[in-house]
Amino acid sequence: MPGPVAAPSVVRLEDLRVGDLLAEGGEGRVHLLPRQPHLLLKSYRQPADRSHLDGLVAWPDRVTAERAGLVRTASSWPCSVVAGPGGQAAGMLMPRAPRRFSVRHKDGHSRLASLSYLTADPQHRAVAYGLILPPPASAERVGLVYALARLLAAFEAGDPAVGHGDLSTKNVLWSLQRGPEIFVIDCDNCDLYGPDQEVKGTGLRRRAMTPNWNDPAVARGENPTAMTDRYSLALIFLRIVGAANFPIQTRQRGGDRVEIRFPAPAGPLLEAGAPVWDLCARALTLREVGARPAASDWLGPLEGLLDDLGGADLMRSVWAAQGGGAPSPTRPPSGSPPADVAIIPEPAAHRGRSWSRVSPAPRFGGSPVGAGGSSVAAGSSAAPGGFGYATVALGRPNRPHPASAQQGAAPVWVRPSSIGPAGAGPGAGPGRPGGASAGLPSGSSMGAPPGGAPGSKPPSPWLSSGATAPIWPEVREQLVRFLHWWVGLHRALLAALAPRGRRSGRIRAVVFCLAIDFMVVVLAGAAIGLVVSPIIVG
Amino acid sequence: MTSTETNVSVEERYSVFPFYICLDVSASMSGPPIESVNQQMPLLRASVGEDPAVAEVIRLGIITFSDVARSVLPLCDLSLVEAVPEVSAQGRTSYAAVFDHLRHVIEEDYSKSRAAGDRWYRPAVIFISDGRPTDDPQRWRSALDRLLDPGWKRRPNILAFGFGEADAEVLTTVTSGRPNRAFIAVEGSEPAKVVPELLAGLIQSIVSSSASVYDGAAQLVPPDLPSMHAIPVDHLD
Repeated sequence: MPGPVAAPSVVRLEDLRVGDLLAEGGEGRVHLLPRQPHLLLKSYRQPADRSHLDGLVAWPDRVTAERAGLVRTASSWPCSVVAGPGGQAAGMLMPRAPRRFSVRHKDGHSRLASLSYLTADPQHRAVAYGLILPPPASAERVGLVYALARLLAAFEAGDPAVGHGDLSTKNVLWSLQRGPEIFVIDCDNCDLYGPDQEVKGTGLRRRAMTPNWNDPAVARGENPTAMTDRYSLALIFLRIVGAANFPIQTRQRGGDRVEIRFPAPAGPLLEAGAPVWDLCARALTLREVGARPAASDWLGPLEGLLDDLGGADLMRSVWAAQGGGAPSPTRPPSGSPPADVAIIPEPAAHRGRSWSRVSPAPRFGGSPVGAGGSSVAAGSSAAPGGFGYATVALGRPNRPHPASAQQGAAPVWVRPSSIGPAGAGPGAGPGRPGGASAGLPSGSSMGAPPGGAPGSKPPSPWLSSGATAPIWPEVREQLVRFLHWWVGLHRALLAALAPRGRRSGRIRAVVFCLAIDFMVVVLAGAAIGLVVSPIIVG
Repeated sequence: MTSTETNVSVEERYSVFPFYICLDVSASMSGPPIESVNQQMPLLRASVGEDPAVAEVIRLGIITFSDVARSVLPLCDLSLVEAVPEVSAQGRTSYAAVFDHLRHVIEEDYSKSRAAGDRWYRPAVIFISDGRPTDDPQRWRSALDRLLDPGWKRRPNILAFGFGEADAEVLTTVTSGRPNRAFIAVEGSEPAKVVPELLAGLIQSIVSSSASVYDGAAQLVPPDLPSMHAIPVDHLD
């Protein structure tokens, strides 16, 4: 278990040896630190609110050691403010996501384990990426939500309380290698809230929320509130445990009453009165936002659910990973359920869709007709030198758009990322829709191991890649190998038994070999019949 | 406040945003341009297909054209594709062939998707050419008119990109005369540099467009260029 990260609360930018660029987002850049491979530097484009960052860095010192440990284990909590030459907050240091919070696709590249892997039919994820994920409504999935709920409970128990505000697919990483674990990133955007749930500090920072993971109670353009994480927890429960998208926000914004049909296997989740359904409905409401259940209210019901699903060992592994661990009380629901949201469990049916790989033909070309080619054209008159693209202005077809003529040598298009195929992800530039999730673009190799990473455990079966690959070629290869071995063995035997040139001797040797083979087969059959089959049947 | 009641089931998925990349593979593309395309295409798969959030809502097809047009990658979920096929260049540049082909495959793909339960946003066509059409202007213009027929509900939004010998006026025509939907490489640019830049821009464009799908207001986000604006995209139904 990683201990608290030893780092001073303020470091000077000039004292850092800044390594390669790992990711780039709207707010700034994330760099590796060669001297501190377990940390990352996030440098801001604009100096950040220094007092806010100081408050975040100092926050773990103001809560119990147990909660501080939990936050440092389960999140990329800022550990140092990076001060620029004038003392302004030029950036911050944060722990790097451990290697196990990434998944290895069958193309061999590791990618950050975002929640999106879990929000769809596991069969699709197996076919597409070779990932074997736990089935919907399984204890593993509930365990991940439980690990998140414990972190959020620690956040809200502090004084000031912490609100993350954007618990989206890319900001909540997960791992099942050592049991259910989560790792929340983008924590420098957290807000601190007083007991009145008013945001501390200036509150002027603009905090974007990821589309599709946002709280519809927050109007567009507004910042998330102290109640936003409570909505997110319920949404994540539905999506992760249900292995589906459940796109509800647009309808909720439209004022619809939403009924969520949740497919549940026979068991505790199929009961309409299960405590988690009451929690989900209350947390997702837009009517009484202030009455949304706190993360701590979820712990007891989730523990009960884990118990019922046979996942008590997973619960204990969450305790071991995050520290602490004692059963939490389940409080009876207070008041009537909300009028605008209902969760209706129904017996799980086989999903309607199945997926298979698309294998296009290997190579395509034009038809084999002579050279042809293009006729001579004027092309566009253009800015001198370099390359770049100009919009074609209507009516002036042979001139670039005036605005683009200034582009000159600068490549106009921004590469998604310069960190290689595995890292090319939707880290959109400033002001682009894809940049809503601030700071740490997805797909970056953040989850890739730090240089010389400590030895990792063997991968759990849930994350083995290529498990869906056809096994027939392997079997065939084994059979061919066995045949080669068998022929070789008999040749050697024949050479030893029969002196060269004596035909009768060779025939006797062949018969002898066949007799031995026959006995081996009979003995093997008997062994299977007597020893192995009772085990299988039993 | 409550007006209606809606059910949200596990089978409910986001509407998908189809992209057709139409790539000129006439003889003039041979050499560095086509090699560059073949080097970059796997990056497209890695960026779009290997990101589950992007792949979920994007459907991508690749069409090549020279004397004839072919769907080298049928419209699909890129995460399920083994590998993006390599292309090779030969032949002339028939715009009519590709416009006719597009009209046909869009209609066919739409029917298939609807049968499978997917809803569509208006498809986007990314038209990439390094030369002028070598077929009869009347023929390709009428094929284009059929593709962009306002009476045809599935008519796509087209973004056109040209380099090499491509003609700005022709490209503007391909984007139905709309300014700011056609791009042309600065004269003298080397295709070996332009093509990677173009594909990198396209990847960014597709990824950004996928984010807008999640926002509930889909947009065709063009590559990051001055005077470019995202194009709102409507549902087809």
